[in-house]
Amino acid sequence: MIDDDAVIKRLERAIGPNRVLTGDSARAYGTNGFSPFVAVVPEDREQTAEVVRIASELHAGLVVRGGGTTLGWEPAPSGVVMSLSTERLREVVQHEPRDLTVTVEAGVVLGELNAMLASHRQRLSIDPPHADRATLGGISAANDSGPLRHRYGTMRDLTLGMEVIGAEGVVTHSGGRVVKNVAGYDMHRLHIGAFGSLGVITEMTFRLQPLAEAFRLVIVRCGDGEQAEQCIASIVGGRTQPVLMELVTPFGDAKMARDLGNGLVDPDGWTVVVGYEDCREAVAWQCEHLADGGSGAIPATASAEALDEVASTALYEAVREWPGQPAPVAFKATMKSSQVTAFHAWAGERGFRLLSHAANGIVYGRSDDPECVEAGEDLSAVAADGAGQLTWTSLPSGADVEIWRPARGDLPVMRRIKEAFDPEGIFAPGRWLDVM
Amino acid sequence: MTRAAAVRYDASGDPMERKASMDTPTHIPLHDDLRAVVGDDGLITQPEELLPYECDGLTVARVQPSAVVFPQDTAQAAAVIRVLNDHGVPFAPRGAGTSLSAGTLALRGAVHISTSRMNRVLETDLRNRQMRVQAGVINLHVSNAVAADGYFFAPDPSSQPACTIGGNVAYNSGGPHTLKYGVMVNHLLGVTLVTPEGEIVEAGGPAEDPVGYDLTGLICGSEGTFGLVTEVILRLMPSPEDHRTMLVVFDRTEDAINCVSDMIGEGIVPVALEFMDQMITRAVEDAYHFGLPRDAEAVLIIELEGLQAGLDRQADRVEEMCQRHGAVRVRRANSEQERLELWMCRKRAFGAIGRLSPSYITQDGVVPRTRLPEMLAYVAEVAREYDVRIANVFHAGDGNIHPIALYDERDPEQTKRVLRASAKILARAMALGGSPTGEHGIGLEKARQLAIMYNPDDLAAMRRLREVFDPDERANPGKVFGGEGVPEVFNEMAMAGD
Repeated sequence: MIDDDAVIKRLERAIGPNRVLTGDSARAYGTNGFSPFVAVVPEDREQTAEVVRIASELHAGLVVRGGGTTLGWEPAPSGVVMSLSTERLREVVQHEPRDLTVTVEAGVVLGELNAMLASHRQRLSIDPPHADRATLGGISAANDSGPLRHRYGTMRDLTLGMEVIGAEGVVTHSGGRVVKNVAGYDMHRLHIGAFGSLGVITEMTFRLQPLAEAFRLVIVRCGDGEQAEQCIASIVGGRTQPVLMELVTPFGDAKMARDLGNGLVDPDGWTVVVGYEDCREAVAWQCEHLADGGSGAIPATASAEALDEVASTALYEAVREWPGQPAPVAFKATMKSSQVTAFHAWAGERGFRLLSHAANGIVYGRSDDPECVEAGEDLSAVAADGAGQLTWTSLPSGADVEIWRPARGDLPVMRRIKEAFDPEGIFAPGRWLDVM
Repeated sequence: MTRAAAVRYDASGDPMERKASMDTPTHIPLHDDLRAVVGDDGLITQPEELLPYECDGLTVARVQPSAVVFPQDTAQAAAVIRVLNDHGVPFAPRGAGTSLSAGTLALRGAVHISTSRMNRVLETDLRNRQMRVQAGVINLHVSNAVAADGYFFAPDPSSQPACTIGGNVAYNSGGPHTLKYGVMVNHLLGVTLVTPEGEIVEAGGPAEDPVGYDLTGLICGSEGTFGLVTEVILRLMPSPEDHRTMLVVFDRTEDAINCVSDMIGEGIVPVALEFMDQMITRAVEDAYHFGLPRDAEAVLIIELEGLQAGLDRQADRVEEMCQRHGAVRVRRANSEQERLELWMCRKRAFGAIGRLSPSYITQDGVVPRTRLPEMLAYVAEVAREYDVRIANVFHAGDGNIHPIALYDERDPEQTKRVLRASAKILARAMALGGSPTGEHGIGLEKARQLAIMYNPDDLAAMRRLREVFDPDERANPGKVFGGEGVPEVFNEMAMAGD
């Protein structure tokens, strides 16, 4: 049994009492279902490594907290757990504009980084919800993403190098600061999407993109799922090159429709939002091509409307933020793109409102009705028909469901990795393979 | 290229006379067991048949495998590996053998598992922009198979007409077009891996964001040290509507490089940005008479692609920028024919080099783009110091240099100097914040460089990961980390540069 007080005293001695929070102050670093008995806020990476060493030595579970935007994703951490905050690791270590790369500490907030980069007309092209709070370490750990992944990929595509603190506080590096590098294994791939279960990310290097001259959306209104699928398929196979393609189905929820785009999104309809980003001429041509509906760009029965820049930005931001809004029941499902509309229809009948990165097959569902959880098994089966899975990100307390379904065949290898890199099981206990 | 007197080794890494391996006994239990899996025509064991398997594209060292086995699918491959396992024999995966770091050599008595019979496209799914193929499918065949439907496969190493998808996975391959589209791992949805225990692992899959650790991304670039990749799910890209291609001549190397950095800094990312130095330009001109200037220090081939709309304005901007940086000539391709001609200048570069020298070694260090001028000046310095002729042709957009050191591999003393010069260049690339390899991989050649780039803790973490997949080093032994059996000629890579 771990002695909480002994852990706290040890931490206070190591990094100073003002960096070690307890009681209510510590609980503020938790989330639903997770209440850390102590929260540590190291001043720098050396202190962070010291904290990991202490956790290893005392066999105390450790959960990293960035901006807290994905900490509530199921499953919650379990057991005796301390929270380790990266909020003081906020340095932009290196930015060489002409190399289009940036190196940052894990606690750097996405929005702040992109504001800095915008002054050089550059951007880190990852757009999960809550850019004002989400840290780059957290986005990596959760492998969170947004609409722009259709063109720019995810953190797995944008990350060039990483520094990580592993078991016993050992600091390791992988990759580098160059855009092409095949020296050794890409160890950072272990940590992107691992929810902190293999170590603490402290520094990352990313490739950047230049800001485009123009950005605009076209909104395509479809009557039903079948039409929406025809529409998505014809755009995917068509002449335009969207940077994002979202499918929105409020299934009668007027508030969702209003929140997303007042008057633009039909609460009962199937709305496909298509985004273009390029030089002015290319964006204008693509908007026109799609909005005209000519040359089979979209089904004849659908109607398309190109939005101006102001309306485009507003709708893009609303769509981007939607998956991040809290709900009693929420999931992320993955599947082949061609399965998305069928999945929307199924989930809609079972009380969910949905939004998806349709060309990537990433679907977010939400409901206010706790009973909706009952539909989980069916939904997983529909996702599995599209070679995908369903992951609950929010569940009513006491819900008795499997967080991930169906289980993957490569789990035994993942378990061996976990055992090799975290033999004491101190990183993110309860959050990851522990519940499989 | 001549294959005259390269240093030849037996499977345990000792130098040998060719004759020594000739007298193979006719009945070897391992061979019988392998034949039981793949049939009589699925195994070769005769020394003369094994000749082509002695080396990859890096010819300084040759090791003859004891046998090459040709499974046809994942199930056969798994059965083959279980047989090898039962006999305690390691294996080295082999695709087309086009790699350039001795990554396929069969050390420690290893048997080659060739993927050349696993060459079927299993499924093409254009709606979901993906294709499932066996590992032995040739890279270019993927693009060819979907070209008529308006798609292509982005990673395009120069060995594209020959190299296999499995090899591309092993080395996380890239090429000129990866400046815009990324490397192999960015176009990979899943892989089927047979572990050294003969276990079949399906990593990733047709859907994005598979739950769990990114096994697909880890296997990609692991140089065959985690097992044998037998099937791959690839992402397809829509073909670009149009191109603008230009060949730009600069009097000074520095102007060309600054032009490249400014272009990218200003937000223009061409699909390719290829640099050729004077030695290359002259060699190409002498061989093929494209009308290239013989006195200019640098030639850039710049290609933009995308929708027609706006492409001309972008090309104008690029041309303007080149002029501003002192370009002495800009030649724009006005037709597809002219475009192919401009590209031919670049694609023929290696062939033209063959006329200058009996052998050459190409390194592929990477530096941050802005450090290219320093790096090139250093390459010239090393060339003088080691009395080696070095030509440069490379992907300027991503800082991936390709110094081509010319030598005669029949002369051991020259071979040593060339390897030492290579090591010096790679050491400087790393010191400038780069990497010893952007495309070719560590293989047998650059284990020493890996140990310079990463500290012992970093390397220990890599070894720990390798042990998860291959605790007994049965998959491609000796690669990446070096060790027992590595031909001693590669010691030269460790002699300089530290």
